[in-house]
Amino acid sequence: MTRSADLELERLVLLIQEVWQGAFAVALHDQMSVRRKLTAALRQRLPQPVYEIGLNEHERNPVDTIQKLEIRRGSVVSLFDFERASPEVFRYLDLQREILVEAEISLVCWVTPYEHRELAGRAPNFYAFRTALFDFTAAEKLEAPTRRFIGREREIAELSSLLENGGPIVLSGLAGVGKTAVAQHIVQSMHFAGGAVWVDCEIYPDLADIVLAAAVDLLGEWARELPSDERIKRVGDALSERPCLLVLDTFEAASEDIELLRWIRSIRVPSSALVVSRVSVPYLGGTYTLSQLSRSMSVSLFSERAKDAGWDGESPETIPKLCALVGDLPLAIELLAPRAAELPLGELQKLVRQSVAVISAESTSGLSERHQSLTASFRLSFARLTENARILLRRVSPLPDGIGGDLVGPFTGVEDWQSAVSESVRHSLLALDRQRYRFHPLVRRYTLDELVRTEPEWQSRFVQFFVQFAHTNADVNDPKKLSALDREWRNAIAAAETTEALSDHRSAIDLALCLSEFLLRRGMWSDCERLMYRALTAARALLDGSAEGRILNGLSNVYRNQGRWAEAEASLQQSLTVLRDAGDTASEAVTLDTLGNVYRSQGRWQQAEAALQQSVATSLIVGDRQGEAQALADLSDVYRARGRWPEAESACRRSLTIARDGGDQYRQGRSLRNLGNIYRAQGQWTKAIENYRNSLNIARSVGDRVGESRTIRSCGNVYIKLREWEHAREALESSLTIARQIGDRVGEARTLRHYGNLYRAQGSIEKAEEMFERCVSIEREMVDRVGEARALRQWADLYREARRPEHARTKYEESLAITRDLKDRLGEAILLAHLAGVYRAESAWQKAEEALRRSLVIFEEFGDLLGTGQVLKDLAEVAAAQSRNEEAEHLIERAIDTLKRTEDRTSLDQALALSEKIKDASHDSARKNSTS
Amino acid sequence: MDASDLHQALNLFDPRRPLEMDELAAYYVQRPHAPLESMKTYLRLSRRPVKVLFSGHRGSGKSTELRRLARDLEGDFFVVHAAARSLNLSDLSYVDVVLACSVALLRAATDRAREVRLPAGLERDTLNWLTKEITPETTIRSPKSGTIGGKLNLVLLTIERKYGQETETRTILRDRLVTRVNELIERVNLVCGEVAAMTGLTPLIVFEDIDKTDLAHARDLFFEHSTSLSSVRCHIIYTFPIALCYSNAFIQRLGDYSRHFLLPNINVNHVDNTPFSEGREALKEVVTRRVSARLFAGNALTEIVELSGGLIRDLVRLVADSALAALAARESEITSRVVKEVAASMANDFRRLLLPEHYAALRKARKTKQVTPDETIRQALENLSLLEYRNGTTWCDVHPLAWTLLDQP
Repeated sequence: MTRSADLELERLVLLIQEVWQGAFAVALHDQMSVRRKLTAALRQRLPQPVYEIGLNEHERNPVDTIQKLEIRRGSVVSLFDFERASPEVFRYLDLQREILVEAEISLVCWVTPYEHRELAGRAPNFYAFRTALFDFTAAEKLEAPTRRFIGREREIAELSSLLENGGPIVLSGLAGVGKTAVAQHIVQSMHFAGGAVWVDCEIYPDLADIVLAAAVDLLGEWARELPSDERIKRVGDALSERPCLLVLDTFEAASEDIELLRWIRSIRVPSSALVVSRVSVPYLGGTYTLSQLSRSMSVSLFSERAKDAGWDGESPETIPKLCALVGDLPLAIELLAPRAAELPLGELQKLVRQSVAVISAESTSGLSERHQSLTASFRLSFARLTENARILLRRVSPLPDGIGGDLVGPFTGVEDWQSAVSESVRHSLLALDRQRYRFHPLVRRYTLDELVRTEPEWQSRFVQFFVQFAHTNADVNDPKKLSALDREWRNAIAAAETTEALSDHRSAIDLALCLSEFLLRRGMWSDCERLMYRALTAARALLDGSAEGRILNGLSNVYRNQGRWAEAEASLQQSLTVLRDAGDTASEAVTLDTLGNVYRSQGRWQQAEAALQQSVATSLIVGDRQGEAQALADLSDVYRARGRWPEAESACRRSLTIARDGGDQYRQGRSLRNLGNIYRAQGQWTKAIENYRNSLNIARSVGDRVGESRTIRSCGNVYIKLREWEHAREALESSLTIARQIGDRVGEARTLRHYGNLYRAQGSIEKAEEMFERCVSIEREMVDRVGEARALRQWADLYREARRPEHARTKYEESLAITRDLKDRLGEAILLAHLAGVYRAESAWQKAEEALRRSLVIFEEFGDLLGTGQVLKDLAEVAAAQSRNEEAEHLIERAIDTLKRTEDRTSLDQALALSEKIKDASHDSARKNSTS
Repeated sequence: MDASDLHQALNLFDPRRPLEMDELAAYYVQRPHAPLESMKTYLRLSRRPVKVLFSGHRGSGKSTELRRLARDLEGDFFVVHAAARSLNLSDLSYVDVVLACSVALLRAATDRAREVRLPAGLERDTLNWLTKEITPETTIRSPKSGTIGGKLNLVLLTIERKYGQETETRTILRDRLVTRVNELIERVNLVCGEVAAMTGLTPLIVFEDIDKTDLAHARDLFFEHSTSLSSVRCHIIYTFPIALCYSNAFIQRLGDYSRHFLLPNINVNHVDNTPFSEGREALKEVVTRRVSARLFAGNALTEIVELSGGLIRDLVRLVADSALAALAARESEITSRVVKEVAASMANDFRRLLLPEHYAALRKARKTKQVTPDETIRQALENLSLLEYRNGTTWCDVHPLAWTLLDQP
């Protein structure tokens, strides 16, 4: 709690007026001008004389000075400039304090936060005599001033002209010379119609990261959801279509990444890239080297920054000397100048000189003069911050990605963090960059050193904070939480990396388990894998078999998402062994479920069925009803994929019952959707829609956004079958929006595929083609092979229907290869039937019949009525085309009988129409025969 | 209540002044667990000259207690006050202390001529020794006229003043004395004998403020020169830095002194955090002896007592600052709101001074109520963020004004 300046002054005046025998007051301020103003106010308001005694290096005993002045009792003595004083001053004050008490004067000690600490530490007994402390610092807290760029006119003009020519330009120069500031000024002063993008390569060193940052800035937030190939393409398009500026700051962190260099070199007119780097990057061509500031420019910069901080313009002749002392380095000047408000410039000069001398003496590794100047300026500036600001800066320093305003308070634990942040920004130690507070890289390095030196235990707190953060935001289906992770995941990863140095194994495990779903959702496979490996090592170090098993299961999800089946399977088998040894049967059931899904993804139905059945049984044994319901739902999917409808329905209903019994609405919704899928697969549209509706109501009521998106998509699929285009479009649009909002890439791909089918059904070939292409692109990126095979098949269907047999055959064959690879028999049946359609269109009857017969065997084997009916109809058509009318009649009768048992009116109508044709053809043929 | 009561409170609660003279009779409060009575008994029963160490936190009321002790023992001993502050030295050495004791005793003996008439030979001999052997290279000169006793008194006064203020004089005197300190002790011992013979009272020197020198010098003084500090043949009470009580050397060297007494802070709570009513009542009495309890609205006084942590100077400062804040707010009494505002401001004072390493140590101490002596703990005791209590056992707790800081991560 800080009082306002007026109230504090009121209190101080009252104290001096009301005490009979004088008092000691400590007045805290951070600007000389404030002290002067307030001393003048005291003179005005107090009847007694107010003496001012400024301390300096020659002053050893202020008590003696006061005595010599023969000041009358009741007078006020204002003592200031403690930092300039000889250290003896503190000793004399401490030991002769009683002389001052006996003199019955009121003493006001004006101290800056730095001097305050010195006074309390070096003259503790004198300090203990204070009657009260008056805080005038908060009163003068200014908002961080808007920084005006100063000087460098020639360099800005030359650089702007180079950038106007397009392509990459490297802005090079020594550390602290002001490269970043020049680049920032360029961004603000030049106009690029397509926009300007700023990427800090120290934080985003990979091409993928840089492109993501550029995509979000140039295209919008939605670009986060694009697959990386697509994203690179879109950013490339944007850069070539309209003038954009891409600034890559601290590029030295990424200067050896050849893939990135190639990409930057590909940037051409009308866009430009400004690569800001301490080291030269010859591969990129043109380099503009920024030299040190001229003395006059340094002086202007110093003066402006000092004035911003409240410097009153005293002793300007010292500024050139100060600038010379710090080698005219802009960063050093930015750090020092604000201190001119609280220290006489001569004093500041002396302190810098001393500090450089100290650093020079202690520097065994031979720090360059530039670094010595920078270090000295940093130390001086940092030491004079309030304790709150120093704590805040130290504590924020482990965060590589800066910190959002919303987290500063909770993370640092600094109560009045707004003041501390404002102070740090005013003193150029922090910068506000798009809602995040960040360090200059060099300043961060210094503050990190300070942290390690003074508060090493903070690293643990940093880790614990992000463990809690990751835990709180682990539900990636909640858009708010997902967005929180989008903002802070780099810091969370840094926390995970720190666990290693701290040997904090438990946190390494917790972070991996909480962050993995997010990283998988965002397709950050390698980050997730690294995290999991770290956690695995941690679990092994703790000899925690249960954790090791769960991590191995998590690791398998990383592999599974990339189609690295063998590794996924090995990881899961290892997980099972470890969990069995540890006796963690509940986790074993979960691993079995994942294993079942890995098999299912590969079309290894038997093994999938076995693993999932085992998972169901194990969950049952340990009483894990949720696990049982999950395994039953997955098992139901296996049965459905194999066309074993009754078993699929039974498993699904069991899952639904458990969910109902346990009041688990979330799972109830999902089970109802699965049930709808089973009916849809059998062509029972009404039942399917009914279940989807029930599922949707539940998903919405419990906020299950993934479930909502998928159920709406399934509805859309049924509407396509029912040819209700408007409903279908609405449903797909809604599903796609949700999927993108929650970053559900798989869901997005599936919806795009259904969109493709909608356009296909409507005959919009190009639109359908685009949708399938985007869908396959995502699926390939996600290594979703089952999805890819299905999309390719439907894409081929499009070409087949559009009478582009060559294209169709290629796509079918691509799909068939994957399907056989996955051992997906039912999928193979469908593909064969569709491939036969191409052959039929080309009148390659024999090939068509062969494919259809192979397909029929599989459909009949799986009891798939719709598939069987449709293939029988196609076979009838082939027979009829070859004038085998009797056979055709027989086949079409079987087809109609079968299709009547489904609700697919379209197929039945087609079969009935074909039947008529075949009968007519038979009559014609019979008539011709009788005529002849 | 009117504003004049607040004015009175502001002036009667001056953190810079211990109770003196008449104030001792009017305002002094017997505090629980204070060693005053034990010290008195110990001194009265000691047949041989004893050297007592007396410790307490800065601001715990040591000066007031010693003044009260001196007052109570006026009839039993020839009480002399000496203070390191009169020497104005931070680099206090044993020579300075022996000299200060000697000067104080000799001055008292020559001042109080009604009680003591030192033999003229002894006075002359001492004066000659001082002016011819010790001070000839300085500006200190014996007055030309006056009695021997008067001359000696004046020379001693000049030595005391110039020793503190003139570096050159101090250097010369120290150089001279360092090899002849035993001669000085011998002469002072003779004076002690004369004083005891004439008054029937053993001299008792109460030496304050040595505890306020820096720890390195204090350590050297008390642990390396204990023999010199014990050589003067009279009772001496030395104030001893509490932070040194946590050093291993203290346990080893305690035997060099007769006794160590600790003035604990007044307990506000028991070790289990339940209120310690006896301590709270004593603290309330410290306040209500000076101003009316009606000056405090509601629970304000209880809150001040709790927040003081039993540290007298902080109790005094809390009352004074609250009175000031109430006056500034144009209120006629001290309310809880005012106390909270003042407490927050004083907590900020801790926040500005505590270093990160202190927080961890303080959190631990707050939890366990025990400390393992190390540099951080010594610093915490020094800056008063950590307070020591005794009631049966010795335990520590964090200053209540700093509690809120520890609640933050």
